[in-house]
Amino acid sequence: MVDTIYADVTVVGSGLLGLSTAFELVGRGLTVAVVGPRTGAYTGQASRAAGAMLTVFSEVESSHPAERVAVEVAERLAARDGYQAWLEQISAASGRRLDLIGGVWVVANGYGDDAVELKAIAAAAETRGHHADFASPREVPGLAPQIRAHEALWLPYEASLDPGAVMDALAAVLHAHPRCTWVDATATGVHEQGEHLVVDAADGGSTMSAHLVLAAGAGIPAVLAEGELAERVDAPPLRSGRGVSLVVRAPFIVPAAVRTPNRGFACGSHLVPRPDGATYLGATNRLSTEPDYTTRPSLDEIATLIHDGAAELNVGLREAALLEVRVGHRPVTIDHLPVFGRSGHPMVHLATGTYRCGVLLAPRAASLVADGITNPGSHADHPYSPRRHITAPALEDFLDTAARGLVEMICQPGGQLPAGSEEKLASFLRAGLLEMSVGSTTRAAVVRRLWNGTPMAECLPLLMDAAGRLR
Amino acid sequence: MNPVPEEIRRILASITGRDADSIGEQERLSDLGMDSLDRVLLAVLVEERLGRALSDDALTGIRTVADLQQRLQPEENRQ
Repeated sequence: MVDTIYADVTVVGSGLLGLSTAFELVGRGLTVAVVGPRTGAYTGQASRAAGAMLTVFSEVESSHPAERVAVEVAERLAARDGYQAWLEQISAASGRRLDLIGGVWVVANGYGDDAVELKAIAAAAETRGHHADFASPREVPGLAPQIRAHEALWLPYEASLDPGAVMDALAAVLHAHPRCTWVDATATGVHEQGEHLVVDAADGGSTMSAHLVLAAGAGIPAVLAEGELAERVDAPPLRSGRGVSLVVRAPFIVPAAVRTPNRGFACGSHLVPRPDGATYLGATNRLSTEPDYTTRPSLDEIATLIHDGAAELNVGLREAALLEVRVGHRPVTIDHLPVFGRSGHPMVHLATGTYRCGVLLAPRAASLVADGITNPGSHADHPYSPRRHITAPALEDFLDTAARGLVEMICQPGGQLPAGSEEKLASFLRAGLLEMSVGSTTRAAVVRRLWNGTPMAECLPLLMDAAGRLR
Repeated sequence: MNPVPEEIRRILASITGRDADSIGEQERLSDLGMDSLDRVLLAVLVEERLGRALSDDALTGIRTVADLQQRLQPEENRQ
């Protein structure tokens, strides 16, 4: 017989966003129940598979509208400004040392429009008074790619850390905290009971609380399921970017993180130093309309990682010893902005949608969500509010620029099409996908359903894949 | 155990390449090799051939062939 646990707030999800939020809430004197795996393999959890770079500026892409860049950089900067103090708070509470490794290198190698990307990243840093120093690729420690690098950019205010160490420290603090109870099982459902919210867990236990924080990332739609409560919460559509990453013992040293700019639909390659001389290699990015939590990393995903990492960062990766393979599902909304704070239901709060920046944004999410609980009405107009209006773009608008990205994705870094054929192939894909999206064929219905459900650039590889699967 | 209706088996077979007769009620869609994209194809084919709409939320709740069958029963027979 498992009891019902009563708390002021139930936090569903035990990734970094869930734990950060729980930590913030107990710090404000509230009682908290955390529902989510505390032990086990954490399969599918984005936090454990993350590279964990504090990428304030290097996530900027030249194609992003200025308004989006302004909002996102301001939020990431706010998170970064408080990060060291936040880590120190966790260190003090847990008695564990948590270190930041300063700086991130961004490397351009002529793939796509890398030089333009580096300029956009540098501009984002400099207009906010932060250094962005161009350098020769020869100056980048640990860089020895197959494809010649043209230029490098050093961002001293960015940083990296070991997300597992932060999560273990937070878990230790919360597990021992008198105001926190942890249900070590996946949440299976949520319902209202009078004025309270009840969360059922896979181990048969349940929690009952006045407030509910949903921080289970791409797993949230399955927990909320269909029904009246889901309708009231009215969460923005959540999708996930499935990412596979490796931890290796490499025959070279990477003292600070080295990354490429984002690669269209993928997230580029990056090497991040880990404790004990290990090195993290990330990451693939494939949009899922529903997270395939049970699907293990495929050899193709691992091969892609190694191929891209060796081509763009260090050929020595091929000699590296494999220590770990991880898979995670980065939660993402269709406008690519996170969802932090009160939902359409006054007692249900969201902390998710952080996509590639979950580790950086975790303390920011925690404080915005906690404010929504202890100070209702605050941040109602925040650009990350779950109640914001999200407009879905039209397929043809995306295809104009994104068809080129499809060709780059097919070629992979270092792959070469015969001169002049790239443009033709891009035009053909653009025309083909547009043709396919109209009419009354099964293929048209599939393309439209996919696009209507997931109207974002990352959907284009799925459109191509799905259209080809129909025989 | 209920037999899986012929048309549901045929739809699943056309997506997975499995022999329609070999698809059993208790099998999970993931065991049939279906990923999230295949599940979208499933929703479209079900709507086209059986005239029954499956929302994304409904899809999320379908794990096994039996779940799908249950979903596609006439409303009044649903448990």
